[in-house]
Amino acid sequence: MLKITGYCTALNGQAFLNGKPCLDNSVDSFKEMIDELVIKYKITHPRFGKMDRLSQLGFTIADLVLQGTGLTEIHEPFKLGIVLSNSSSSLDTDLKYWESTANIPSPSLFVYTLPNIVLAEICIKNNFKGENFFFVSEKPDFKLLYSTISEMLSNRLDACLGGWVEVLGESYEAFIFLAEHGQDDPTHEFTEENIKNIYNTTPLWNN
Amino acid sequence: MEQLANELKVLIIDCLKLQDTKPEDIDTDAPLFGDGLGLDSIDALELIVLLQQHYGIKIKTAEEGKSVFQSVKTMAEYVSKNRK
Repeated sequence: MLKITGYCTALNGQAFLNGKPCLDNSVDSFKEMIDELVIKYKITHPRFGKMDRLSQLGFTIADLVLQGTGLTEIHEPFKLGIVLSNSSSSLDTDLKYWESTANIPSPSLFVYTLPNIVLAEICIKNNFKGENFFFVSEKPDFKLLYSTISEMLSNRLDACLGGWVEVLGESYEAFIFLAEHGQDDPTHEFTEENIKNIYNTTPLWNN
Repeated sequence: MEQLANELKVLIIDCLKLQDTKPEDIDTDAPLFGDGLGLDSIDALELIVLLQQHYGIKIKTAEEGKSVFQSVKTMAEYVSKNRK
């Protein structure tokens, strides 16, 4: 049976891991939220400060989902995959890069002008070497996420991260879940309906 | 030269977003790449931009870049000779 074994959401200065709040209080800005999560959950990476905001958000939320799972000790790297999506692609960084071209274009901004770089950052940190996709759609496409991940898990992968990581200007939103093979237990079976249910019942989306 | 080296350390930290690194943490003679600050190829490009923006210096070849970006000391010596 395929199961959803963990999930994390972030929006409006607050994050929830498996339905429970990560921070004692909500914070005002994207930077404050990321900084507090990084400190509280001891998320370390030498390149973190150089990442764009899309990568910082995806990297942080994926790290929260994966902490304590021992996933990379249990499974072969080529059996671990990731499928993320959003609506603005890398536009948040594209605009900053465009602004930099007025003077000397910034190489470090340029490398983040693709949305799939967030996948690379997560895969490098966590030693994921399996298949990966990044989809761009107007809103979370649960059918596409489910069909893609279930095909990969049924045929090639042991575990797969999936979800939605969106950043544009002041607006941001993340929802990342871990799907893997599990025991026969109806709780959070990996289905399109359950992905949708978890997304829709997260406290953040109901405020 | 020491003042220029310190100025470069501040610029490098800011330009390369080296969180948790202070100017005094950077050894003037230590390699910038590999074992030293552990910079990568994108950082090398940012250092080229840094020299152009702040000192009007253009690095023209990869070989020239290799010798200039060995350490903060070699950068300071190069800037001192070539700044505009």
